[in-house]
Amino acid sequence: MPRAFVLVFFLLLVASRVPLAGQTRAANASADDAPGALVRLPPVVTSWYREDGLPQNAVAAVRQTRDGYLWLATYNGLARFDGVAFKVFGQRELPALTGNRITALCEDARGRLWVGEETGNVVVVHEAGRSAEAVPRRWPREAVVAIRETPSGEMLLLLAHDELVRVEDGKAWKFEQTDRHNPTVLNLAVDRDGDVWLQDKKDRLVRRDGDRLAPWVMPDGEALTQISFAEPSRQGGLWIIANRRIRRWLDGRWVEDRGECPHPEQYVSAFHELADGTLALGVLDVGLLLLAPGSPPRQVDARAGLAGDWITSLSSDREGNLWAGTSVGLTSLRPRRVEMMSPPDAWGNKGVLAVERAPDGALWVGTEGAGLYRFFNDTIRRYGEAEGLTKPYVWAVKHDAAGDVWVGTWGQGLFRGREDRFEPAPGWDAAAVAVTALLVAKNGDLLAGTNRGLARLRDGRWTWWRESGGQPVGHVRVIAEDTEGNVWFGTAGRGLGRIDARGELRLFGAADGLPGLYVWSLLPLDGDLWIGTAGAGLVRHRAGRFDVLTTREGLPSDTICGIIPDAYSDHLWFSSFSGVFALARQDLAACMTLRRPLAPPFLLDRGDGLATIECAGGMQQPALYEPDGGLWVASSKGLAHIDTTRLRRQTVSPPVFIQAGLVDDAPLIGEWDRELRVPPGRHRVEIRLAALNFSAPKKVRFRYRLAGLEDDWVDIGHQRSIHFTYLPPGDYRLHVAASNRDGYWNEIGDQLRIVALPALWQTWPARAAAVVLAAALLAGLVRARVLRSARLRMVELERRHAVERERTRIAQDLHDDLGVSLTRLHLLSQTAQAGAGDPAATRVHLAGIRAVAVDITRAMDEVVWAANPRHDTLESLVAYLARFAQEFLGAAGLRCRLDLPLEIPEVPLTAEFRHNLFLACKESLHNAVRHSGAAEVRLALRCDPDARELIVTIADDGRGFDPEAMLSGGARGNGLRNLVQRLRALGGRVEWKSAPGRGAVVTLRAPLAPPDVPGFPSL
Amino acid sequence: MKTTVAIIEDDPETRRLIADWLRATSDIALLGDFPQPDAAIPAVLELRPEIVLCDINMPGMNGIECVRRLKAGLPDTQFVMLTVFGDVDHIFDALAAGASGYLLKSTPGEELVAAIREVRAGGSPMTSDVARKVVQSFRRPAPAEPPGMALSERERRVLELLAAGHLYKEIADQLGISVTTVNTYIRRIYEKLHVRSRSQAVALFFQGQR
Repeated sequence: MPRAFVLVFFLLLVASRVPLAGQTRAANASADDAPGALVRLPPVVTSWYREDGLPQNAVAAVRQTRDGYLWLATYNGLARFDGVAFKVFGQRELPALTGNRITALCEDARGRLWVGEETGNVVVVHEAGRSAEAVPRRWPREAVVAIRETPSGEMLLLLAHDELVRVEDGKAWKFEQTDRHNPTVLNLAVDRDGDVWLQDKKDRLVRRDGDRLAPWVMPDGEALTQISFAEPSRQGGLWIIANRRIRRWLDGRWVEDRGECPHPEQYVSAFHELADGTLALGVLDVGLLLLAPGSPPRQVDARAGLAGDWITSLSSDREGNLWAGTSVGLTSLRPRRVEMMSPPDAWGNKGVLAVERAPDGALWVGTEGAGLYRFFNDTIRRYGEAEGLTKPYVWAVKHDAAGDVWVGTWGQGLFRGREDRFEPAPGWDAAAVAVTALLVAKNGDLLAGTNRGLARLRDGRWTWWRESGGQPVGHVRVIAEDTEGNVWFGTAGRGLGRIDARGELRLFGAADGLPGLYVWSLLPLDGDLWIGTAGAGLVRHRAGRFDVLTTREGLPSDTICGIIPDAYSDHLWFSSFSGVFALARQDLAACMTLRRPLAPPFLLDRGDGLATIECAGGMQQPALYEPDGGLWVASSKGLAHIDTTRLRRQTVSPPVFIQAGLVDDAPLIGEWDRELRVPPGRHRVEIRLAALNFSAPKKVRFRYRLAGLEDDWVDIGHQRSIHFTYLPPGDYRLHVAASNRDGYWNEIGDQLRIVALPALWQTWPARAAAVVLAAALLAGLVRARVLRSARLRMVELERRHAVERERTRIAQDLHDDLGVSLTRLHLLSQTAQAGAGDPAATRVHLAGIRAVAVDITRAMDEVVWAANPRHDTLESLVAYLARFAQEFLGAAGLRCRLDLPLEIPEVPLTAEFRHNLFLACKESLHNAVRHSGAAEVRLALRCDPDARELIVTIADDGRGFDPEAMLSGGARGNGLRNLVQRLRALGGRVEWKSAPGRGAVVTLRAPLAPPDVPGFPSL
Repeated sequence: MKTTVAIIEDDPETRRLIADWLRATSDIALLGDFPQPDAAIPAVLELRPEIVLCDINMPGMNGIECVRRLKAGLPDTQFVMLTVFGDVDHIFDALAAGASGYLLKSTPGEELVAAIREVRAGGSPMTSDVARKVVQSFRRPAPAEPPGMALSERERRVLELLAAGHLYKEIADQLGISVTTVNTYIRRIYEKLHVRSRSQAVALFFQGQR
């Protein structure tokens, strides 16, 4: 397996405070600036507890094995986690275990999982828990505290009474004060060079030196005190926390110094180095400390979601997630791609609408109700009423060359800010209360988009564009300027506008080919104009043409709030109603110009840390790209920051495993079986899958291919099970594959042989008959293909036949129900046309047409219902019957009473079964309406206790009849004989109980689990 | 006072027909008709109609999701779903999302207008198969049920009678109440169903978070 790329753990890497500007000119910081800055909100941390399937809250050790599973040691068994579910292994599952109290885990160089128990027993687990063998014990019955392997392949155990033991021969190294009542050794570390270290409570570090354990003395004479942890480093050597510092010791000297340990007095209970060099420390009473090189420490505690602050084990998986086992639960920290940034007042819990970087390096943020914020050199200032900004709904902020800041509000129009004071813009039209767009043109003009059109400030004078050819321009939401000096603007409901260099205004709308009239974002780029609409997708305007891209082509959203090119202009970033996403411009061009399928966009959403996928839109600057590659995105849940330079697609593809095979809901095979044998007949087969992914388990996609039936892959999305309603007898191979959230597929996947056994009549005598039949048929036709095998043909024939029968039935229904009605419609409308002069006659004809149309709709409904496999359940049949009976009887003026069980067993039905039973019921209801003269009809339905038979009774209080006499002759007898036929086709029967004058009860009995496949023609 | 209505329906012919009917009705003010839910949502949120007619099957976002989003911003608006066939699963999902009734697209114009008036007056249509679904739904325990969200004895009885095929009038007679009261019960059931499904969604969301 190629070494997986580990996603950068940049959550931990980047400083907790984002420098607000590259150019930090220390300037006009006013006295009102409060110290503070935008800070990252606490990382999203996920924790699991007993109620989530964890066998016990106290987790002694966490380790990922190379097959991808995460293993947990608990006092209630060994647990295996796949990102979604825990599977617990106790003594029952693995008899080699002596109990359920697991204390240590280790994966050796060969990929075997070593498990240590409190009893001193050690077992080696094979094949993800399929089996385990006990290791012969040559040491005392003491709890195994740690298991380590040396580079030379020695397995070492640290036992609870401070003894170091070699597994192979039981050789023991006794610690100086071996005392089972007062153990002192805290950690066992084996470094890359094979040196074995023990660290104890009393500031001592001991190294294995041949047959003895020798106290370690620093060569340069530095006395190590307050040793709180020693752990091997990925780069070689040993991390040692001592003398209040965290340093790395390699080849006889300190090679790296990470500075002061943040909480030197506290007990460090776990230590782990991440792939990117970040050190994770579990510190008692503090929580988790993350120390990234060159960054201040970050603390994650219970408030941030950490399960508990007694961290017993730290480890990382190969996707870059950090795992913490604690005394009260399991916690994972996922790398975040999006940071939510917040000032101490959390924007007054209001949404963010506009982001602007001022020339002096300050960041300005407009909010929906909390006024305007300015961030500069670790100071914050909020502008509101006190500074003259009397409306806190800030939709646009812009700086001009003169150093003024212009603020567009919703409610009180435009404000101008000078030296920290705001005043209404001089000369402003008070009717333009909503200012949602502001732009400073290259020639210095200030352009403002308002609810009353577009305004331009030039030489202290306002010029307005309010209408075009008598049409109001409406509310201007966004403005852009292209290189030719045209000003483009987007409106709410009036399309796109352009003012050319001469000041001429033109509006573009639906007639010009613009697909949406709500234009929320604009980006002129290399001669094109990119247009983001609200609801109609992304549009490119090129040479007078509008090309559109929507969710139909794979765009994540049809509402595009912001469009921003990255630093190299080879990607476009979009903020939308479905998150933030990026598309390569060449992919966009390939799709829009060459009509190729759109390459999947790189999408960031909630799973990446975005607080909401609905970004702010409908204003000038809801997103901002900075020269350093940072992307700011405004949303109703705050301000998001994305460091685009650190984004990588995750390339760890998820291992996928077939976990179980069920036939008719009964589990037949488990995860280690490689063959599923389906008994003869029609059965529902379900295959359950697991994919190992810890970053975004819910975004894993699955697909499968059933070789022997179909060669194409079937995409089942995020569903973790595959269902087959019917497998024709045959020998199949099921391949399954899974992809991670970024679309990296694990093509190797997993496989399962599925053998669908033939019924007796499907075996050789029947086959022979079919072969003879098929051969005769074929001989009469072209002797084209050589038969691959009689069996395969047989299966194919059978499958085709079933499909053909279904098609014939649908065609028949369409012909009988719809064809006849449509012909009537045709005739009626002809007649109506002929008599068009007579209003009274026309009215009658039209009423007739309507009645037929209603019939057609109902007939169509029945056909569609019968053909749709989604309704292949008993529940659906019952619901449909109930509605039909009520409507049908209601229309005929009869009372309808239903007696249906509330809970209906989940039984799959074939379309044929549903269709026949429905028609039988319909026929019976028909009879009741037409012939009985009843006032009330009662439809009752029940299953026998084993759900083997469905019993429908239709009872009326009408005049009754003599079934015997009916069946033996007479026109009405036809209907009854029909009913008998239909039920017989289902393997069931009909019973009548009636006598003249006493009402009638029809009972339809149909077996729910037919003995063999009804879709197969009797040969 | 005119009843304000908006239509969301992707088929242009149906939309035009319904819009024409409503425009021709004096006590109804049609505020807008929209072909796409995506574009409709911001506009409808701004227009705040009393009644929204919404198609269930639309490309892109379906009508159920559309109602879910709109209902959050327009708690007092009544949503009536438009459907070609009375597909009970979709209808039930729409009701759980906040709709309070449905109409077949084949409903003649005057009946459509009558139905809108009825909804406006507090009427709440519910058919027996939908009632069945509602009863089933309330039998399942909800993980984060807000207090007072279980069905009352009376409400349950009304639902059961509906599911057994009784008409509103018959239910009123049987329980000794007026048809208006039956309507009130049904509307309350819709509310509970909506709140309940929302809290279920929230609970599911938090499960996903952990």
